[in-house]
Amino acid sequence: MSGAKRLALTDRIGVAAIYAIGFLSLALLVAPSLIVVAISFDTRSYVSFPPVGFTFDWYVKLFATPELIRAMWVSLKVGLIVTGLCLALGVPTAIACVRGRFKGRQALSVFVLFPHMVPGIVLGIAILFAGATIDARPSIGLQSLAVACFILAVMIRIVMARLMRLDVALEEASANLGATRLQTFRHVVLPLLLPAIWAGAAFTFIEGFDNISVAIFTHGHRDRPLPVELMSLVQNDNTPMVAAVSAAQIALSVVILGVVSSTLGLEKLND
Amino acid sequence: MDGAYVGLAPFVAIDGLTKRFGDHVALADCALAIGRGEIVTLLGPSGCGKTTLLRCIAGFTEPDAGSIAIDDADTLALPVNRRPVGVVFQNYALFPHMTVAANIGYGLKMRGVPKGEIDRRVADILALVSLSELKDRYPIALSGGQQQRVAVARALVVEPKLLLLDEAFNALDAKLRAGMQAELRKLIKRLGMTAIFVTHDQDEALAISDRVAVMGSGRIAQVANPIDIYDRPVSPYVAQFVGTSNMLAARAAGGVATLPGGVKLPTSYSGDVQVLVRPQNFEILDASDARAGWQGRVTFGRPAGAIVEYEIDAADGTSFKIAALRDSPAGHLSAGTPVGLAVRDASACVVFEASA
Repeated sequence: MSGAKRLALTDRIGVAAIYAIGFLSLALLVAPSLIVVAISFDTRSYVSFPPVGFTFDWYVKLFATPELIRAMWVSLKVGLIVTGLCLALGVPTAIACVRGRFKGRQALSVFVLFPHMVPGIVLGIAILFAGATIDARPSIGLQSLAVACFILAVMIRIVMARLMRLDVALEEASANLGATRLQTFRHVVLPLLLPAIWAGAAFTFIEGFDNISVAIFTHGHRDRPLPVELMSLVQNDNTPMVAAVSAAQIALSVVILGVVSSTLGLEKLND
Repeated sequence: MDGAYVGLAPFVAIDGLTKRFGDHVALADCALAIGRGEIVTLLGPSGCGKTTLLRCIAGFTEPDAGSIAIDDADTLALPVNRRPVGVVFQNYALFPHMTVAANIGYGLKMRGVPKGEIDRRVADILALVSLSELKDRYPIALSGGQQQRVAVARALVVEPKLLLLDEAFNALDAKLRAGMQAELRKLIKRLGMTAIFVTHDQDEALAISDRVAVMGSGRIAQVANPIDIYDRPVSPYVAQFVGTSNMLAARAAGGVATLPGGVKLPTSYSGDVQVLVRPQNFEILDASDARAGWQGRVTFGRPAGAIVEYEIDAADGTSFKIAALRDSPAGHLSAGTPVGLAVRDASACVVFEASA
């Protein structure tokens, strides 16, 4: 029975192929970030790889550039407003879509995904024109609203998925034990939804901070968000400062993921 | 009527309860009266309406018509969180994010009971179900039997007037089940609690209840104590759902139905009838025995503890299910053995109309 112990040749080729694809995928995911970080420390004043020296100059320069600092604050504000909007609108919508007993519930749960299906640029232009008709000019507010509209579906889907897996009997048990609907929500549904809500908040914040397709048409003229600022930076002077800004953003994402994974466990993002 | 509630005004009175889901009639004019401190089981196959009836009492489902009164109070008028009923759910529905103690104290907390009193009452009930040492565990760290006890304690601690248990033993393995059934029955009796169990498991129904209500197609087919349900079923449906049964075709005339072998059964029916004979009410004889009403061959023998369950096919194609004590002469028949069959006790047979 030596065949049982040693895999057949075709199986071994298959396993090798799976490993190869796995490593290639990982490399494609991680390598660009690593290259960007490496370039951000280069001593040369143009973007090139591999770096030939090491300096913090580009970071110093970055924090000495008021437009970039301002853009970071704008993106931070947009990220927080988008997260707030998505929490306020997404969580109740998800609950209505799953637990609701009304006509058109199915239609609603498909309809709320629609803005996410439209290309971001189309949505951005649409909201720009729609805003113009009611005199809502491009601003942090309009940009936040537009990005929230774009990313709301993600929050709704994550919370819906969790809610669909939540046994209705838990809510019935709570009611049976004397809880009002509000108490049931507060003590049973909400705590069990929290991992999904946190995950949704992380995704929507990152999108709010990072989105460019919708933001480019809707941001305020004085309030340019970081991605927009970064794009003009790349177009105008292509120094490693661009890489430094990107590296700072990567650091932010890593911090958010780190916080989420250490408080909730990363695996719960899939719940 | 045999097995009907006898006594003062019933503690739980269900009348005319009807529920439709679209075209499907889940409950059709159900009536049931239960005395204080009584344990009643709703027994039936899935889809018979037993769970719908339970959910109507608990308030999870709104009936289309009918009334439910508990201790003379109209229960249907109360919202779900004000009904004086405690439910033990099929898979217990313990809150996964709360400890055992928090699960059990939940109902008291929702009622605004002071913290000190919650702790005291939770400790008392934990002692009652022997779970004191597990109070800080989370449900996921408990065995099925322990989870069931937490679910029972959680339902009991708020002192409901009526306890409802939905397939409470389903999630337990067979070995554990019998022990937990006896334990739960003793606990409910000790507390003087009135309880309704829902189950599709006839052994559970017979083991745990004072009375069994057999349900079918949204109706209550018979309510009686477990022995009468088995011995005196009112219809072939009840007879076939509870216990193993042989339904034999026979003719009735002049107030008497006659089975092969000369067994005479008094009956008010005439014409074609069906006769219920339980497996242990047959005597297995030699094939040549003159007392035999049927001749047949053993097709299958299955030892089941102290008895052997045989399948015996008669010459006319009828298949009999027959039980014999294993240490009797008929306890060791191999497949193919020719045998004769006779009914032992005519009074233990039940006659039904053939069309019933």
